[in-house]
Amino acid sequence: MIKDVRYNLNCKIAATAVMTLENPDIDIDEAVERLKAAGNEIISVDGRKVTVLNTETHPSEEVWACEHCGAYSTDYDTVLRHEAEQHGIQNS
Amino acid sequence: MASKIVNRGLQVIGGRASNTADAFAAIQSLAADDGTVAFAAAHTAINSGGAVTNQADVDFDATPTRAGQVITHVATFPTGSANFTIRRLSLHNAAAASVSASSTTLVSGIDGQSLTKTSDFSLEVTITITYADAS
Repeated sequence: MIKDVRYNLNCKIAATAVMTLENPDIDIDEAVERLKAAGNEIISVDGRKVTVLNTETHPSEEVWACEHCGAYSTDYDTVLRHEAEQHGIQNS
Repeated sequence: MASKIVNRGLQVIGGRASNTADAFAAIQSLAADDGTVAFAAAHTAINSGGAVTNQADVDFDATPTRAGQVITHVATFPTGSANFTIRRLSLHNAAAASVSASSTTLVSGIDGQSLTKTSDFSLEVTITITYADAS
């Protein structure tokens, strides 16, 4: 039954981006100012490491899949109709 | 800002997990680009939503790790790479050398960012994907 093969991974993606100052000729305070001037949002500074992104974002959309051929849609009824029309599967 | 596992990415994840005949390659690299279009479910490549001007790709630093249902991917752009305003980050199921703006390798992405990297810095990006049963 299609309702038993719900391939909704409900995934949540989060990203963290940390810049490490590799240039020994500038100090971290100056480097941070440069990053700010370039438009970066500084989250935190730890030694020569500067966190510029730390976010959690919303879940991905749900996907329903045809258990016969794997065709998928975010719309349950679409997959239900596909199974009936393409494979003769009658879901109760 | 939004994040999305595109439909192709869902196919890769499901196909790999169930060992389907598709023989999808593993997720193994991370890309940064300056595209301003949000990732959409139907996208299969970095430029699916429109051309990008700058793009850089790196392989993961190490094999991704898992804790519970959370998979963590870490990749580092060296000082000479990704020196532009990074608008989007994405995961790909191909080695970085095989990833291009048009390669059909896109698995997931985060858009709407604004990270300006310069050659003074290396940039370590960590992307975690949390899987949850929604039944």
